[in-house]
Amino acid sequence: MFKFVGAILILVSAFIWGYLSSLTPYRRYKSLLKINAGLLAMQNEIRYSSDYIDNILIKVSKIIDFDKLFLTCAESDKTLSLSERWRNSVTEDSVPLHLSKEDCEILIMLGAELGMTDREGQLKNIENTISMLKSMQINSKEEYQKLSKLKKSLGITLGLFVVIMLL
Amino acid sequence: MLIINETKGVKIHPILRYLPTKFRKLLTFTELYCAEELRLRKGLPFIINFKDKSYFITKDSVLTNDITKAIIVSNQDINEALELIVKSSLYTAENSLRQGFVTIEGGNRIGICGSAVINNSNISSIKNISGLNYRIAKEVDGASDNLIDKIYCNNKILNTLIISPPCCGKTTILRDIAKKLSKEGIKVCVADERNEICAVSKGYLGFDLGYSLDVLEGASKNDAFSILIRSMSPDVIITDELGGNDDLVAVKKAISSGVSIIASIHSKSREELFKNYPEFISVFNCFITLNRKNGPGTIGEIYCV
Repeated sequence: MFKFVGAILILVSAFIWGYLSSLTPYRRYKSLLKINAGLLAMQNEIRYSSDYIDNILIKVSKIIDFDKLFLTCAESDKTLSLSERWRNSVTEDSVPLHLSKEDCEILIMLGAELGMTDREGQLKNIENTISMLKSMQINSKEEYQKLSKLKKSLGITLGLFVVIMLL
Repeated sequence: MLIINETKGVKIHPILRYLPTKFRKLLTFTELYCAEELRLRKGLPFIINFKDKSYFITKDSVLTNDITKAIIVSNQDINEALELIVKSSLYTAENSLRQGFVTIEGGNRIGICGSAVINNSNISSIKNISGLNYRIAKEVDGASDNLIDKIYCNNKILNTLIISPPCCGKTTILRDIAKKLSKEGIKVCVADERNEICAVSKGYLGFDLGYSLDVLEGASKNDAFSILIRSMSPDVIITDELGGNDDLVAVKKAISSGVSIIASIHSKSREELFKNYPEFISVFNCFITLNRKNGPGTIGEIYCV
């Protein structure tokens, strides 16, 4: 009886592990979608409202209902320069947002010139970031579609293997 | 946006918020209310200009005349200062940069020097910034006491032009005139292109300028005059630093609409002004010349036609 319950527990845990790890690329995809939407909103704000960057970051986080990255940066330690604050926010939020190293690099590149060029420069900089993140978004979608089934079945297989070994 | 955390218990001059950390720390306990300018030039010593004297500052926060002990301004300091001045949003200050200055809170103006970027024969921006000049604005109550009766008598406001070289107190006197007229209940409008006279921040005036004053900041004189005359029915329009022919056309238009104008212009003397711009003689009725003989705001001559 105990063996049976134990085997079931192992199988369920393995399945959950597989399921959860299959969600990571999906979450990354969702995060990239949100970030791109935020960057588009930022572009519009810079183009039409010409507000200060901190106000824009707060406004954008409200528009897209996203409390990471943009809001993190707007609310961070204001004794640092904007590029430092943006870099810190990317680093801090990369884990909860499941961003890859490449995603972070693209976002940090955006921060290097954020706020500190003329309007045209800002719009171009954001546009480049959006197009680079879009290709990352496509990759993450493909990865999600390819790996989700694989990871789920890998979880069950691993669970079965452990059960067989223990029996 | 970079900001400063105020040192507890120490009331700091608002302009310090726009200085790089290094200099902000050194100047925290320095009395800046008497200073006129703070100069940052890349690779050169940091200078504080007072009324009659200039000082360097040492690493121990001491004002000195010894250049060997002076703190040098680095490229990083200039970049940090610029980020503070534009609140990490350079694109919001494009128009100001084109004119070589940015106005910050309290009507303080920061002059910017570097390499001009030319686009279609016009300056589109300034790059490689080499020097910053922080000009400290002052509210001197009673600065126009000796001339207000000449400008405003028998319920009539003369079209007045205040003439002086830079740093002689034109803006301070204009501000005080605006305050006095506004407190008399006269409808005063200020066309504050550089936001120096009224120092408007988030729609609030930076100085006590009475209860009968409206400000349009940021617009060119021509646009501002048209808007103010059409929408605010002013008795008098006050404006700073007339420049080219466009400004003169705007002034003539306003006067012909029945509105009085009080303005200022850069020139050494009235004679010099009349020699270079004879058309001003017919436009204004009262010319006031300022100098620095007894400090900024010293009245040299009042000439009313």
